[in-house]
Amino acid sequence: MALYILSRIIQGAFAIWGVTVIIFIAVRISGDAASLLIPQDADPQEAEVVRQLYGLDQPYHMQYLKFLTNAVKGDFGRSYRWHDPALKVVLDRIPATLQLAGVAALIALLVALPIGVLSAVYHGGWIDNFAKVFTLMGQSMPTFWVGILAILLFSVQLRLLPTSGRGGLDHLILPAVTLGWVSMASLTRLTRSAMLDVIDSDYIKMARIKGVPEKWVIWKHALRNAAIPVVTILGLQWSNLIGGAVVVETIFAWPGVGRTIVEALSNRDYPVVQAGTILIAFVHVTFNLIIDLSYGILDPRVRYT
Amino acid sequence: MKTDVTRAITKPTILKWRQPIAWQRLAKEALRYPLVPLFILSVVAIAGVFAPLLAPHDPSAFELRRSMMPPAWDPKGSSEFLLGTDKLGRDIFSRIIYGARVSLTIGFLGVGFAGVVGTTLGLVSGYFGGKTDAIIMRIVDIKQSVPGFLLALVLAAVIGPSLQTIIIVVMLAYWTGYARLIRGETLSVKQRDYVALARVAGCSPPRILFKHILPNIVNTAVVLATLQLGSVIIFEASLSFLGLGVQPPASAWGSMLADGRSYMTSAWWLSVFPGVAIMLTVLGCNLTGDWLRDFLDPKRRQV
Repeated sequence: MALYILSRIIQGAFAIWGVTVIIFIAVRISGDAASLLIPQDADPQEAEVVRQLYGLDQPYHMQYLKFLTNAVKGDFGRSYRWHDPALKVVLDRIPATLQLAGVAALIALLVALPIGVLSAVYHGGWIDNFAKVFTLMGQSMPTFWVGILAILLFSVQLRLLPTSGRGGLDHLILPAVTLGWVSMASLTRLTRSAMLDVIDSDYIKMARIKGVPEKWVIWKHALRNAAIPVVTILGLQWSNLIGGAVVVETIFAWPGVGRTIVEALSNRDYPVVQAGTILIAFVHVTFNLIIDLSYGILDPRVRYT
Repeated sequence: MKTDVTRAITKPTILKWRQPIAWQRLAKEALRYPLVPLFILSVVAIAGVFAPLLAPHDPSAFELRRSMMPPAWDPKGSSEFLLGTDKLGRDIFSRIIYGARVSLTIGFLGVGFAGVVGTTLGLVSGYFGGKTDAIIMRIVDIKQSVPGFLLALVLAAVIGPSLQTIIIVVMLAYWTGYARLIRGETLSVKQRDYVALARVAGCSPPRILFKHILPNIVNTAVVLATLQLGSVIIFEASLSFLGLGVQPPASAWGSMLADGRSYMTSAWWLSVFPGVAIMLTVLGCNLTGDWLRDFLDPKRRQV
């Protein structure tokens, strides 16, 4: 078990290292990064000085090595726009994104699990039909459109909720529900099919024969086993949630990392882009690691491999 | 306890069942195929292909006197501009028709390239195993550590947004799904007898891969492709929404929604119709993909 954890951690570290390489290359694809810092009409000598200052005259692998050693120390350079350390800019804003994505995932689960279970148990009933339509609609609507419609309905027409910014619960509801919408749909679908599979299985029949109350059969035994694929997919959905957070943050002016990266991209603020993407990858890998390890709790079969 | 047999013998046989009328049989037969989704998709495809013939106006033609007109059924609208106009006076309906081109092109080409690259890598990885497998799977791991959309944003911004960039970016974002899937299938097919026989007969590895293994597993890749088509269309729309998709004056549904965002309180039609277009197209793709997956499911037996 300890060996398993260790090997997964090493895999994760390797993945994050790979991400630094990819981001390093991606940001420098367009060529000379110095041209962004140096005005067009500058003296070539001055341009050379600036280059040397930023270490941009070195060959690329030297630049990468410098980048990596600094990154490990937490130094991602200074934001071109704010002149704060890039990592600080990103770290300041990541709690907002995590809050948004976390609440979105929670809402998705809270909606998907009951509806999925009920539509499986009352197969063919009105809940089942509603769930089918809901999942279809949910998976076909782009996240940003859901957000726009939500704003149109709740803020413009009904004047119930604020349109943007971070604040109390009322500021959180619309962005979180928007972000979780697509996940809600896929998770409902998944829960439903997983429960349908599980309900037919032998151990459920056994539990019924034993005389376990039906509520326990469904909500304790069946759901626990159906939860395994659902948790897996939730881990995969996390990637979509972060990606979707970029768009949701832009629509609702939520002060998170996603919006910061988009702004940094349009401002050509590459240190922030690098820091932000690598940090998100780090969070992502860590989160997946936690999910993988939680299999040991949910599924006893994993513990013995 | 009365068994069914006993019941059948003791009850009088009254014929309650009758032959379904011809149209009932026809409807039942027709519902086996995904008619509605395919209809939606063909409408979108026709709109895309024949856009110049179908669109009532030039999508980039400004007519500032006619800007911000509501749809035709509103008293302030006109039947000349069916779904209204935007702030530059461009006809929304025509822009939606032309937008279908962008979405479908990127959808098909993006999924196509991702599928080809991913399938090839999956085949190689699954068949050769060992170091090659390890390297390819590590690359897949690394790529999956970053949310695909984020990576796409960075690349699109750095390379410069254009149709080609988006297709490349979609390919880079979606190839890993195919690689993992095909690798799994290859691993299970690798053990079969006909592969061993092909090796004994002296077939070269490429021949084995493409002539013996691939035809048996291509179904799963095709199903994945149809199911991902909708996802890619939403992906492209999201990139366009953030300004990193195809650039104006080309009309893309995502950028139309971005334009409409500032006028939500005054011009609801700018934000609703492109979204409906996206939703219907993706719905068509998803339903068709679902049907295809059930249709190609090896567990289904045609009796």
